[in-house]
Amino acid sequence: MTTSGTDPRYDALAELALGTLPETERAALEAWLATDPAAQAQLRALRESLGLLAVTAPAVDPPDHLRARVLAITGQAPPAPALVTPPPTLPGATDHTDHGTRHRRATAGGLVPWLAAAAATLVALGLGWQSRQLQSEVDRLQADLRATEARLATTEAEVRSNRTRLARVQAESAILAAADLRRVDLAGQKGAPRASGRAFWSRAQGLVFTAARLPDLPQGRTYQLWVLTAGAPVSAGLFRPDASGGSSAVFDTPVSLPTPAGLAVSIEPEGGVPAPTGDIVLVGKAE
Amino acid sequence: MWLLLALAVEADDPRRSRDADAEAMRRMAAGDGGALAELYDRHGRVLFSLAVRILRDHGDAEEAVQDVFAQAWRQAARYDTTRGAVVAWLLMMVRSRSIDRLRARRGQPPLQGDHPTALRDAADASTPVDLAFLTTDQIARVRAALEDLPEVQRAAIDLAFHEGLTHAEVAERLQQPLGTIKTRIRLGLLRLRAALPAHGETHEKGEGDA
Repeated sequence: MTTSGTDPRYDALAELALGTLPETERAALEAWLATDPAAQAQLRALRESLGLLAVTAPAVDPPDHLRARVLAITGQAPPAPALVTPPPTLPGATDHTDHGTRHRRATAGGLVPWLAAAAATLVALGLGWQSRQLQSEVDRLQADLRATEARLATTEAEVRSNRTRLARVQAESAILAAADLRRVDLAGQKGAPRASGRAFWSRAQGLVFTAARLPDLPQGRTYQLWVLTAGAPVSAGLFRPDASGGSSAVFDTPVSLPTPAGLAVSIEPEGGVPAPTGDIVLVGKAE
Repeated sequence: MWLLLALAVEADDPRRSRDADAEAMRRMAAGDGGALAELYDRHGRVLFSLAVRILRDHGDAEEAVQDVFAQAWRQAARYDTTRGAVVAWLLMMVRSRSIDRLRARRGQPPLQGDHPTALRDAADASTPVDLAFLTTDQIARVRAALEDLPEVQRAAIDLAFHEGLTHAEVAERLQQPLGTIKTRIRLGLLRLRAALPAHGETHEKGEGDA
């Protein structure tokens, strides 16, 4: 796992497990996965985590009619519900015996079409008026529902936007209030003499980074921020400046990270690289 | 608190349940509708809960769950029961079906990876953590681990898992660099798993470890 902190392919495994990996990255990732046991183990771990996340959803009882709908799939007469009181949320052990379904299917199979035909006739003869009444009621309720859904969607969008802003402010203020705060001022290098940056780092909280007057990135390139340590530089993450060349971002850094001697920013291929290869744009020593 | 209430009834012998699920799949493959009923009675609630959590609409959630059981019924003969817990497979199918609906509802394109060999595969692949073995206490620990994550990280995982956003969409929504988001999602997910004892340990032995 020593490389998993910096190799971006490990992060792509989470996308694979979530089903969100861009198609263009798929072949390369699968080729790596086929030969690397550490990658396979990581993918397994991520899939386990997703399973765990799935069962943390707040419990909601399904309506009784859902059982009938599901069992209608088989085209067979539904057996009585299992006697579980109350039903377990998670796979519980309940003793099930064959409810004699096979036998019942043989006898019920012949009756069902006749019963259905009889029911249809009854509806056509006697219940036409009632069904029109019901239909208009359903139409009204559906209109109400659509209006409510629209209001809900607006509210949800507001909540999401506020949550995003709050999350960012919390992360930044946690870092800036940290007792072990260190500051790094970064100066522009050859290709970008006017660029500048400043970062605050806390072992416990992570890294806040801001930069200004960064040059536009060439097509297919990204800025990558590096933590300079006594050993090899460690990637803190990737970022793109806004139209004015400014950038402000919060990065997680591993708690095990050696105390930074400084920070550097280089231009790297899209998606980032495990070790710096491109031109260094900003560099600075820790105070 | 809901969790404790919901899970107040613990499986008395989860191993038996897991074997029973595999057996139910075999009987479904042979056309036994009673076996589908068993599977529904055991797992319908947790599957419906996940669909409601993602879709926030009971009607849509019902359809998603119905779709998944229909798929399980059709694919029972092809399902390799040695691959992992059946419930894990069902859960991942419910997630992918629900997200299909969610994205369609919002007019978002289907996930790029959502074709027969990607998301579906992920769903079909084994999920070795034995969800059938989870106890109330273990789920509470996973939930606590989720709560303990920094807000940005939890939000990123929530958007990716429950809202079905791609990592690029999550990065845009949270106004964070894509690389940072990718790493946060991966490390955050691993923290959930780390909340439980390692494989082969009993929960008692794993107490306090993580």
